[in-house]
Amino acid sequence: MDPNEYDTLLATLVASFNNINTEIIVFSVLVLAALAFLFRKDLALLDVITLGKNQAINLGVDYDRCIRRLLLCVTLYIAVATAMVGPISFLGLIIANLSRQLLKTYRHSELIIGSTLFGMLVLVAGQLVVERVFVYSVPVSVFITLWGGIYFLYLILKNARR
Amino acid sequence: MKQGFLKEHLSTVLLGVALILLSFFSLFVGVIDVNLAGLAAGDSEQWLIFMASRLPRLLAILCTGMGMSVAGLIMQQLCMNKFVSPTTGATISSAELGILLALLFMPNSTIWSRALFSFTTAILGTWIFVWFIQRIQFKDVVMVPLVGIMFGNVITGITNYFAYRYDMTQALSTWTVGHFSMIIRGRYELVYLVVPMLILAFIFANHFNIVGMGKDFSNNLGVHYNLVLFGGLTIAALITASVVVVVGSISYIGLIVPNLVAMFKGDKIRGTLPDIALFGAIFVLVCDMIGRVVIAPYELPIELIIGILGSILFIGLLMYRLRHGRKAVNVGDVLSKHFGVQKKAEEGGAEK
Amino acid sequence: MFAKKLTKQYDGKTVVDDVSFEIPKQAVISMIGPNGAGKSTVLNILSRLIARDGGEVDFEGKDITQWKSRDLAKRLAILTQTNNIQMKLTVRELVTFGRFPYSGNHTTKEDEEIISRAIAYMELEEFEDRFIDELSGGQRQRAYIAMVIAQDTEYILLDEPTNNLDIYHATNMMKIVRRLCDELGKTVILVLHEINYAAFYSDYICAFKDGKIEKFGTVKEVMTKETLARIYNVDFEIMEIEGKPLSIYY
Repeated sequence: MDPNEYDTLLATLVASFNNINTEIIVFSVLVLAALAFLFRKDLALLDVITLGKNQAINLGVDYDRCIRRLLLCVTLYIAVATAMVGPISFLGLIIANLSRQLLKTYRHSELIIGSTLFGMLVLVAGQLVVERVFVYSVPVSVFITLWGGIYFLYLILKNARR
Repeated sequence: MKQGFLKEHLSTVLLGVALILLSFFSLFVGVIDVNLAGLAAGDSEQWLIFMASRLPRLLAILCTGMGMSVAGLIMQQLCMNKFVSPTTGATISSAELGILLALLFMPNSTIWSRALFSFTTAILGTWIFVWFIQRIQFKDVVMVPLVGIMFGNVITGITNYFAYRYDMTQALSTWTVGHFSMIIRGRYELVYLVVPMLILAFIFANHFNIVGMGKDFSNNLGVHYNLVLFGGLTIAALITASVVVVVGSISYIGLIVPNLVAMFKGDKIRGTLPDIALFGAIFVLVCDMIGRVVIAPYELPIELIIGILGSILFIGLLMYRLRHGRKAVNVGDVLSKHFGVQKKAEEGGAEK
Repeated sequence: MFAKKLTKQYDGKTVVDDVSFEIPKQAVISMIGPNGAGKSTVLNILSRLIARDGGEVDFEGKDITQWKSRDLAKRLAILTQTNNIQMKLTVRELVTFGRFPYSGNHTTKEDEEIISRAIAYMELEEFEDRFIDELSGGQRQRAYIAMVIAQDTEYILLDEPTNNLDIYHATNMMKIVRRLCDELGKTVILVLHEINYAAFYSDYICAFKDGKIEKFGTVKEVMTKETLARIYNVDFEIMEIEGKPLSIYY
């Protein structure tokens, strides 16, 4: 394939923040906010669900239904993100664990806010690195998968030692 | 006597026959028309296509199917985990890193030098991964493939980083994306390395089984644990690397095929190795033919077809398991229930 | 509360076979029997944690599946064995979850009082702000019982509450179970492995074998040489201690 055509194709397939369609940003934010509102009742049950299936049912939660709705919510959020910038794997895994580790709380209200902020921080920092240090040659997703993988393995080692 | 052999190895014989028929059939599927009549009449153009493209392609497919399935089987046995495979054990990623290193340091490399780099990195990557999971005894069996995927990600991250840095992304993807369409006589013979590896695997099948039952168990039976463990992993890594260098990376064959066959036939390797190899070859062959036919004259990527077909088969079998418990799947029952075929009284092959 | 003709199958094997019994109020009922006899399964069916294949569970006039889970949670509590929560929760935070069916995520002043009382009842005041994964097994189990007390239900179902506890803590747990019934008026149904704890601390025993009820009755009715030998296939001697029949097996 012609190298230039290849580069163009690659840029669209790989998640990159270099060219964002500014028109849809506002729309996406509205959609995300609407979803949060729609699923607010199920999100409130997150704390109880972490107690385990039996305990959640014991305390009166319709466990199966709640899990289904939460998964739907997750899917829609990911869909919005992917539609905007492309697939970024493992970011959720990394940020969620990072905020759990740093915030030392089980309350999901705090964890969600923390994760949102950390997520923004990590991506902005990553993009800064891509722009200044690597002059756009390497996309952000490479760093996320690389450092995310290393962080994950470090977490596993740490947990296993307990 | 002969009837006893047939009954015991019924599945192997059936799979073997199916493979031969499918292979023969596949030789004549393709964009350019090659048929028996033309070959018999000595049409030189058809013979050229046949010998330079079709036959090598078929052989490469067979080696890939058999090799990757058995590599997955070996890794699963040695790591005592049903979900380890070249894909979920960082082997394929390590092999790809080797290819990139070869492209970086020896830009005009032949397939053999790329292979050398790839062998080294694949073996190292797999050894490191297995050493890692042995250090940490995971309570949850699903953690191991997860860690393998993460390991693979880190290695792929490193590979991609260098690829972007030195502008080698297109070159890298040419050599690492799996497709059989580039198989040409003279550039694929490396994949034959799979054959002696398979023979070795068969010879040491019982050793792998024993190691798969634990360190204490092996020592009790006088089997040198570390030697067999890393030897077996080396075999799996070499098979994987040969396939990746010649064909490109095709994921999940080593994960899907052994688990599918094990649901029917249980876990004793010596008995199931031939079946796994044959089924692996059939599986890849069928996927390849589908890929060639569906949007002819273009080809669908093999990884896509394997992913779809493999997932459907796997989920189907899981649902069967869910409904009928953990007994081994009985082919006779499935046939009689779903197709009204009479269950033959001597259908003893699948019952072991 | 009634169980009527309950059945349940796993993998084609009948694990619960036509089980029917009535649960007397304000009493301690122990379910005993060999492994695989179906006791835990019946307990899980009674508490709606798993679905039954056949039969009914009648709870205060309605079948248990027709209750809204939240409402049921105010009248019936279940504590199972798998309590390995990886969360960093203090004892007080765990017990606070017991008020969830009533107040959701926001506790009232009244809730806080109930929680404090439950913690005091379980003598956990000095551990109130410690994380549960830092406690010993016995203390952790008491914390879970405190949560169940805070849930303030009439019925409490416990699945092998003494399982991982040493003799001292296990005996204490059984004394707590007895107090839950005598002092707080609860109806407690528990699955037990230790026959003697069942004999000494409960009012009724439901003995299971092979998925069926071998005998349901008062402690004295069930704890006989013949019945126990039938259930466990082992010889027993019965001794009376403090007026209660205890078994000796060898």
